[in-house]
Order: sequence, then structure tokens, then C-alpha cells
Amino acid sequence: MIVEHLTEKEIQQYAIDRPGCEISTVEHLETCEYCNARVASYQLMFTAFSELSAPVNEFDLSSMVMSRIKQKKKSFLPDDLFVYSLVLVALVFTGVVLYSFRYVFLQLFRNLSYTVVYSAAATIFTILLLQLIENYKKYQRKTDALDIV
Amino acid sequence: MTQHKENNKEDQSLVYKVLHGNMEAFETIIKNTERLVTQIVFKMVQHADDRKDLMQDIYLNVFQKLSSFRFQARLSTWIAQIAYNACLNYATKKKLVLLNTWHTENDNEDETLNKALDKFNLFYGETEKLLFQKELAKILEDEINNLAPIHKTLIILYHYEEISYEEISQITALPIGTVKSYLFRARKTLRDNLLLRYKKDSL
Ligand SMILES: [Zn+2]
Repeated sequence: MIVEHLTEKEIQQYAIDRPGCEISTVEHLETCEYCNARVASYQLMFTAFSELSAPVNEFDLSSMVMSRIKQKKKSFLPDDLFVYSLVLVALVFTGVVLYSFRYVFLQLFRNLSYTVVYSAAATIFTILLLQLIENYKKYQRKTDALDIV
Repeated sequence: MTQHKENNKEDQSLVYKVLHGNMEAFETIIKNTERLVTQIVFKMVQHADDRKDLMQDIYLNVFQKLSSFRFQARLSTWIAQIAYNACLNYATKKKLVLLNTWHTENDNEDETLNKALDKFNLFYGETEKLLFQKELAKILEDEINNLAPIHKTLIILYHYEEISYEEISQITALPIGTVKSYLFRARKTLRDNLLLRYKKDSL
């Protein structure tokens, strides 16, 4: 009689997940010594896995990562401070220019009606304010993520 | 299922804390996942110095991307995914081979293997087998190291870290069928080599 032994897949499945196997697999294994030895060889290997040791780092990973995050924070802040001081300088400069040449500007606007001047000024002011709020929000989000307590 | 919910709650609280500036929470995340990330990096990357840099880069990347994490998977799975991708990128840069073609497509036991199996069967449950078992972990470690990096990683994730096929599929972005078939081949290769060494040792 020719014996059809279990396939390698069936053997592996039985060794890993016995309840999930076909009844025919279980029945075959009740009588076949050869396939039982094959299953046992896998089971022995699987038990050996639990005796392996997990690799260990020879360095303190978390403190290395934390110090690199701190470094990033340091290099990030001066950059941003630079941008904001530039904005400040520009604002002061514009103020000075406007003040020094106020008569010229007044002359320029004299011919226009007050309504036009005011609505133009209001529009510009609103746009600037919105931009400022948006930038401030962005800045808050960045510093939140990098804030070291 | 409840365990998964518990994990999710803990993940959410940790992520929330980090995003609000609590860096101790990020240290906790590193400590919770360092073992898994180390396993992946050790199996995928041979060079020790490169591993050190790579692991730091992985966590810096995690830190930067944390606000985009949407809790669709466990935090550890997401971090493992980042680690695995970092290793793939590293291998691409260094032009390393991560997969090999298997030598044999034949699933049947060949004759040498059958003899080893016979011997193994003979000693099953006997003192010799117990002695062999002690050395087995060492031999197994050697044989795992002989596998291709991706097979090594899958074998360790499944059989040592006890991660499910689904999660391995998420980490590696390989279809579940591919994960299963790589694992099948890797197990068979490992088992065959163990048997052959067992036969040699017990002669
Ligand atoms: Zn059989």
C-alpha cells in the first residue's frame, strides 16, 4: 500500500496551530510515526526560539535620541528668532518712513475721499492681522512639539 | 480585543502627552518599543555602527511624524513600520540584497534529511535529545543569521516577538500571503539545517 504522507505545509500548520488543522491531518498523525517525527522536529525548533536572547544595544538609545531632539530645538529657535526680529526691524523702518514723510503722504491722499482711504487702510490692516495670527499659530504648534519640560 | 483597546488608550495618552510637550512620555515610547525596533534593525542591518545611527534616525523620524499618527494600528506597529522602512532605505542606499532565491522548490524530504529524521525519531524524548536541546538555541541562532535579512526579520517577529501575520504584513507592507510563504520557506530551511546538524553531531 502506498502511504500518502502529509505535505510540509500541513506538518508546519499542525506544529503551529493544532486546532486549526483539518481532521484528516489529525487522523493521519494518529497512526503515522514518520509524520509525527516531522511535526516533533518543528516543535523542538519552536521551543528553542524561546531560549534565544533578544539583542541589546550597547548604548543608551533613549538619552541619545533625547539629546538630539534638544539639539534640534536649539538650532530651530535662533532661526525663528532671526525671522521675527527681521519682521520687527521692517515694521519699525516702515513706521519711521511713514512718520518722516507724513506731509508727502497727506498731500497724496488729500485728493481722495476719506471713505476710500479708510477702507483701503482697513483692508490692509485686516490682511496683516490675519497673517500674523496664522504665523503665530504655526509657531505655537512647532514649539509645542519641541518644548522640553 | 480588550487588550487591544487598553493598548490603544495607553498609546493615545502617550502621544497626546508628547504632542503637548511632555518629553518623558517620548522616553517611555522609546523604552516600550526599543526591543522591537532593535530586533528589526539587528536582523536587517549587519554593520554595528550603522545600526546606532539608524536607530537614532528612526526615533527622530517617529518624533517628527507623531502628530500624523492616526491610531489605525498600534503605536508599536507604526513605529516598527518606520523602522523597517528605514532599514529598506538603508539597504537600497548600500545596494544590499535583502532576499535570496531558495535553492530548492522540492517540499519533500530528501534522503539525507530522512536519515536525520529517523535518528531524531529514535532519540525523541531521550537524554541525547535533551542534551541537543541545550545546544539547539545556539545552533538556531547561527542558522537564523544565515537566512536573508527579510526572512530573518519575519522569523524573529513571528516566532520570537509573537507578532501576528496581520501585524507583520502591516509592518513590512507585504501581502499576508507573501508573509506566510516567506515564513513557510524560512521555517523549512531552518528545520532542515537543524536536522542536518543534529545528524552530524549525533554520529
Ligand atoms: Zn505520514
